[in-house]
Amino acid sequence: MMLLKISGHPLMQLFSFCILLVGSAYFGGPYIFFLYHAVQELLAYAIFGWMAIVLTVCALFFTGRGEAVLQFIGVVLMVVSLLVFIFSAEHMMNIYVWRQLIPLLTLALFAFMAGIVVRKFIKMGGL
Amino acid sequence: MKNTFYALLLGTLLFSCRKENATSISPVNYIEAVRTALHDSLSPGDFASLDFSRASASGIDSLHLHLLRIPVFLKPIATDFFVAKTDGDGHIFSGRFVSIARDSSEKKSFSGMVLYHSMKGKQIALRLMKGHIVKSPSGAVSSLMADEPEIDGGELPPVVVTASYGGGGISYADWYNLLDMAGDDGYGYIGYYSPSGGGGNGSAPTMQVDFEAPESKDAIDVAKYMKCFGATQEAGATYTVTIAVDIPVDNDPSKIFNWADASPGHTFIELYKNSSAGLVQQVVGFYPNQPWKTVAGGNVNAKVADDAGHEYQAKFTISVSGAGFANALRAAQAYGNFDYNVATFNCADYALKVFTAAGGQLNVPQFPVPEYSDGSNTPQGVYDAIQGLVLSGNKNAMANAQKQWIGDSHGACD
Repeated sequence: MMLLKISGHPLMQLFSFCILLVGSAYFGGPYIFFLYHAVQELLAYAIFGWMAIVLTVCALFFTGRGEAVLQFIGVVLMVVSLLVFIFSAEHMMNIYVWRQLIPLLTLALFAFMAGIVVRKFIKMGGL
Repeated sequence: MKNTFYALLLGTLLFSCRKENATSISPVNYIEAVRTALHDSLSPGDFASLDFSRASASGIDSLHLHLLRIPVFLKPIATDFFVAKTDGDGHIFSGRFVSIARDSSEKKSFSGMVLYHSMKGKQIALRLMKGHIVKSPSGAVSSLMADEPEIDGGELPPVVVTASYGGGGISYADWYNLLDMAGDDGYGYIGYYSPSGGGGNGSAPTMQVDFEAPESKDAIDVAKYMKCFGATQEAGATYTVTIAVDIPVDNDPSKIFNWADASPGHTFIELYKNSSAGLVQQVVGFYPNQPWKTVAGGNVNAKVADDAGHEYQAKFTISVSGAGFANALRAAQAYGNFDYNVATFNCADYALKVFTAAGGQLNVPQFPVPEYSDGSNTPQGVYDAIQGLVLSGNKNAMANAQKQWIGDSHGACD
């Protein structure tokens, strides 16, 4: 129970999203690195990503249902950001690194965190 | 209720990302079954032109769809291939030769002409706009549609497509549509596009089947690739070395990085020998082995990969002596053992080392790689250098922001 509580913390959600490893056969790194540079070119995935980060940071200042709702919206935007990122690339070349174990583990961690946040949201009564 | 929801969520996570590629027999037997069937259906010349060792299978069980894409020898799979629609056991329902010449870089849709050539020389021309057949004002789909050819009963008609497509290759959805357009009995349609927005026969949606997986860039044994060239002092043999560049952002050479594709672009080398024994061509490039580590800026284990069919926007070819070519082969192997470093030894450095070893000269302007260096060799710099040669009238240099595709590789030799 304690583990779930820690896992569902907004900081853990932010951490798993930011360290998610992505990249092509030529270059890769944590997702936050790409968000940082891409937002300067106003790319859609970066805008969704930063909106998600801001909402999740805001969740730190709420408790209970407010926190759960903000985290849930944040996680939805994170998933949207990732999907836009993946499908905006030619032949999805920007997720080439997911063929390797460590990047795949970061993806699994993010998926786990997303599941925990959704669970927390439902437990709080949903919308 | 909650448990059911979590079970469903877990199931969705586990299975939603799975790309189904199942056949009822093993992949080797599947390809062998297709090969046997094609041996009986195709002319000896057409059959001999197919390179089954690089065939790529894909399928979606829920749609009972199995496709096998077989490249043609010495041609990039992105532009020349045979596509067969089969069942899970490799029995062929239909198949076509496809050759694509893109005339613009409009993204993710065909706009242009599609020509179907039967082996008896008859053809259908279809005008496509954004993936749909244009309905002409006269009511005819196309003037040439009136002259409907008879598709040869026992032969599979080859297809020549002159169309625009923005991808690095052609997607599964599109080459499925190529089959679908031709139809199992010759030709069909994928829908009409009415530019005026009315008065036509309406529109049928284009079928979306699948998407391309990220390209494979497995490490090759460079020594085995170079061995295919044999002796480099052969009488009468000619040798060329080409340095080619894929800039990060298509149609915009000013960009140093593509943040959507996570790509800084790519520079690679094409080695070519023409002798009485035949043509041998190898296309190789330098890559980080674990690209996700490159962000740290340090040295990363590297690999050399086969870049056959890779897109490029600029290239510069030089004819070299046998000795120069031998130097290039040695350099390709030696520098392939170096570590990759995004700032100090990247794909552009590797390609330039091989090119210089062969006797080539290219004055590449150095660009700062953001957050890593004040000045490095980059694909953008190589592009600018080649563009400079083009502007100075060098006939062996070509630079065009529109992408083209390099030729095939011979592969490894034991």
